[in-house]
Amino acid sequence: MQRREFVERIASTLATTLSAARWSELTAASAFAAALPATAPWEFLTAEQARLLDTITSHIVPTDDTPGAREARVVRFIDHAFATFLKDDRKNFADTLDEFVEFASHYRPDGATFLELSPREQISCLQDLERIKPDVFGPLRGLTMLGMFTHPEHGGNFNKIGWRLIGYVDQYSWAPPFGYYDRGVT
Amino acid sequence: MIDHSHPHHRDEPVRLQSPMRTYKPTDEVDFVVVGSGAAGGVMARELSRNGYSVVVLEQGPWLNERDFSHDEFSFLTHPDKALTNSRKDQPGTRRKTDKDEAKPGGWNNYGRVVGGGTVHFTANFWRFPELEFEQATRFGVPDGSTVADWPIRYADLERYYTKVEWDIGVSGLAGNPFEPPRSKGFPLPPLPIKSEGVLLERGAKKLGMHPWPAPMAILSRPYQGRSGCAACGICIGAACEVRAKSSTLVTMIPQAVASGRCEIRPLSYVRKVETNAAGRVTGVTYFDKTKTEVMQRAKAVILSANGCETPKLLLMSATTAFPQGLANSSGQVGQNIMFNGSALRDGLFEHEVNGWKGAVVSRVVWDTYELPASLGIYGGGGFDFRCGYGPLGGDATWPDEPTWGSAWKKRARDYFTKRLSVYGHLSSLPTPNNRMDLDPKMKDAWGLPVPRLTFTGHPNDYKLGAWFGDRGRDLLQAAGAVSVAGDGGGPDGGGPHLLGTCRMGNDPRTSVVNADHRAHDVPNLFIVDGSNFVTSGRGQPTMTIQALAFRAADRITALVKEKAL
Repeated sequence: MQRREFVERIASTLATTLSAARWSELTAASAFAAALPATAPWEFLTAEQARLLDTITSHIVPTDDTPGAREARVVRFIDHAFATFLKDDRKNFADTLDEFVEFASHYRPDGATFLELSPREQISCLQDLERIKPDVFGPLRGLTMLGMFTHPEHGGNFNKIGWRLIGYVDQYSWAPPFGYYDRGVT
Repeated sequence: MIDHSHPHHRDEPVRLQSPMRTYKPTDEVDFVVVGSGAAGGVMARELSRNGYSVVVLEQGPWLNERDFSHDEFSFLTHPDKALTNSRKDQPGTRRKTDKDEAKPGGWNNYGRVVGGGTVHFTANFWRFPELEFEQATRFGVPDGSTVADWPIRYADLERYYTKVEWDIGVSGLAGNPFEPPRSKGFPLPPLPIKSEGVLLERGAKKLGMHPWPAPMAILSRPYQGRSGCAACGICIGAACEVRAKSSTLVTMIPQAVASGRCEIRPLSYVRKVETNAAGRVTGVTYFDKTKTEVMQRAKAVILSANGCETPKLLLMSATTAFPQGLANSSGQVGQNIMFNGSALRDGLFEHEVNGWKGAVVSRVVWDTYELPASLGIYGGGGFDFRCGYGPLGGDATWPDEPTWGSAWKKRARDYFTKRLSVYGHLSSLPTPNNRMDLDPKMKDAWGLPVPRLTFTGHPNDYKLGAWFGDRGRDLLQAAGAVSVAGDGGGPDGGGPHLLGTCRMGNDPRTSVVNADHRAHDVPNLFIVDGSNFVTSGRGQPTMTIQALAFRAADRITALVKEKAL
C-alpha cells in the first residue's frame, strides 16, 4: 500500500478506511486485552518503540483529572493492531516512527532523543510536528484515537475509558428525551 | 469458515417455516434477478408471489441480526460481515474527463449483502415531487446537461409509493405542504422527535420554513411481526439488530422465500448476461462462492444490481451481435451518472444533542425543493439536522481549537454530544461527460474489469451546493448554534447514490429501457434499479427505486400474461 494512502487512512480514524486483511486473527484474539496483565510481552513492538509510543500517546490524550490513553491501553491496541489486522501496514508504520525519531532529534541543538526531552519540550515538539509534518503526526493521533474509541474487544478503550470521556454509553435501547432540547417535547 | 450460504448458518433453533425452494442451474426458471437490494428484493417478492419461479443472485453473504453488532469497527471492515463492497477486492478508477487517464482510488460504494444497501441505509424515504418527472418541460435543459423528462409521471407512481410505505413499513406524517398528493396516510406514526429535530424546527420556523416529521423506513411501532425501533446508539451505516429498519432483508426477501417459488443464492457474482443467436437472453453466468463459474438458465433476466454494477454487467456482456455491450445500441449504458450533491456544515450547541441515539433523522425541511427562478440555479433539495457518527466520531475537533492534549480532552465530550450537522440533500445534473464504463487495465479480485468513473460536476451544481451551504449556515444560526463550521457544498463525485446509468425513456436512441423497464434492444431483459433515473431527485433515491420496482413487477407480469415476452 502507498504511504500516502496509509496516512489518509489512519489519520482519518474512520473505521471505513481500515484494513481488514487480518480479520480472523483479530476476532480470534478478541477481548484479549482485558485478560492481559500489564506486564505481558509485546506482540509486535520493540520495548523501545512501546516506550516511545507510550509517551507520545499519553501527550495526545493525557492523564489529568480523568484517565487518558495510558489507562485506556492505547499502546496495547497499537501493538495488537500491527501484530494482526494492520500487519500489511507495518512498513508504513515503521517509516512513520523513523521520521518521527528523526524529526524529534532536531528539536534540541544537543540532538537529545524525544524521550530525553522534558515533558514540556515533548509537547512543544509534538506541536511543531503537527504543524510541520502533518503526515507523521496524523497517523500517530489517528491510532491513539482508534485505541481510545473502538470497541474494547479490539484491545484499547480499556474499561470503556474512551467512551466515558465522550459520553457514549453502549446501551441497546434508549427512550426520549435523548438530549437537552427534546425534553418535554412530544 | 462460516458458511453464509443460508441464513441459518449458526446453531440457532430451526424456525417454523418451510425450507427454501431451490433450483438447479440447468432448470430454466422464469426469472433470474441480479441483486437483492432495494429493487431486487421487491422484484423477487412480487414475481414469486405472482406465480413465477425466481432465482435471486446476490454478490454478498446472507446475514441476519445475529451477525450484526454495535462494533462499528467490525461492521464497517469485517470481510465476512462488512455490509458494503470492499475497496481492496472491488476497487474502481476515476478521472475527470475523457482526456485524462483514470487512476485507481475510486470506490463505488454499494450494499453487498442480501438486502443490499437497504440493510445499512439511513432510511430517509422521501417521495419525489411531481416536478422531478417533468423538469425539461417545466424548467428547460441547462447548457451542458442531458436533463430530460421521465417517460412516466408522479401520478403513475403514486400508488406504488403508497405500496412501498405499507408493504415495506415507513413511519411518517401526511400533510407536508411540499409533498405531492398522496392517496393514503402512513401506516405508522413518525419516530420520536430528537434534539436535532427540535433545533431544526426552531431554526426553520425562524426563517419562515416548514419543518415536518421525517418519513423514515424504520418502524416507530411493531409492524408485520417486526419490532419497533429501540433507539439504540448505532444506526448510520449499521444493520439493525431488532429488525426495525425496513430493509428488504427483513421484509421482501423472507416473503419471497415464503412463496415457495423463490431461491436466494448469496455469494454469487454475475459476470455475464448470456444471449442466443436470436438476440434473446438465456440466463446469466456467475462466480459462485468458490469462484467457480455457473450458468443459471432463465426465460427472462432482471438486473437490479445498482447504478454501477448494472451498466458494468451490460458492458461485460458484449458479443458479436452486441459489440458495444448488451442493450447498448444507443450508447447510453453507463452514461449520465448522478450521485446527488450535498451541503454539510457543523454546529456546536450549548447543551447536549446526543444525536447518536436513535434513528438518524427526525425532521426535514423541503421548502427548498424548488428554488426561486430569480436565483438562476437549476434543481433543489431538502435539509435535515443529524449527527452522522457513532463513538468512532469521538476524535472530533473544532476549527481553531486544540486537536489533542488536555485542552482537546476537555472539549471532546462537547464535540461528541453537543455537535450536529445540517445536511442539504441536492439534485445533480446529468451531463454528456459523466459516466461509468469498464477500466481498460485494472481488474478486480475475480479478474473482471473494474468500473471506471468519468466525472466533472456541472457548474450549476457548485452554485446549488454553495447556496444550500449558506442556507444551512442560516438554519444552524437560527437554531441557536454557538459556533458554525464548514464551507458549503457541491456535487458529490462518488458515494452510494449510483443513479442514471441505464436511463428510462420512450426513444431507443437516447435511453436504455422503456417505461416498462424493458431493454429497448432485448425483449426478455429488464433493468430495475437506480440506473433507470432520468433525473437525480432531491436526494434520497431508495423510496423511488422501490416504487419503480413495484410498478415494474406489475408491468412485467402484465407482459407475461399478454404473452408479450
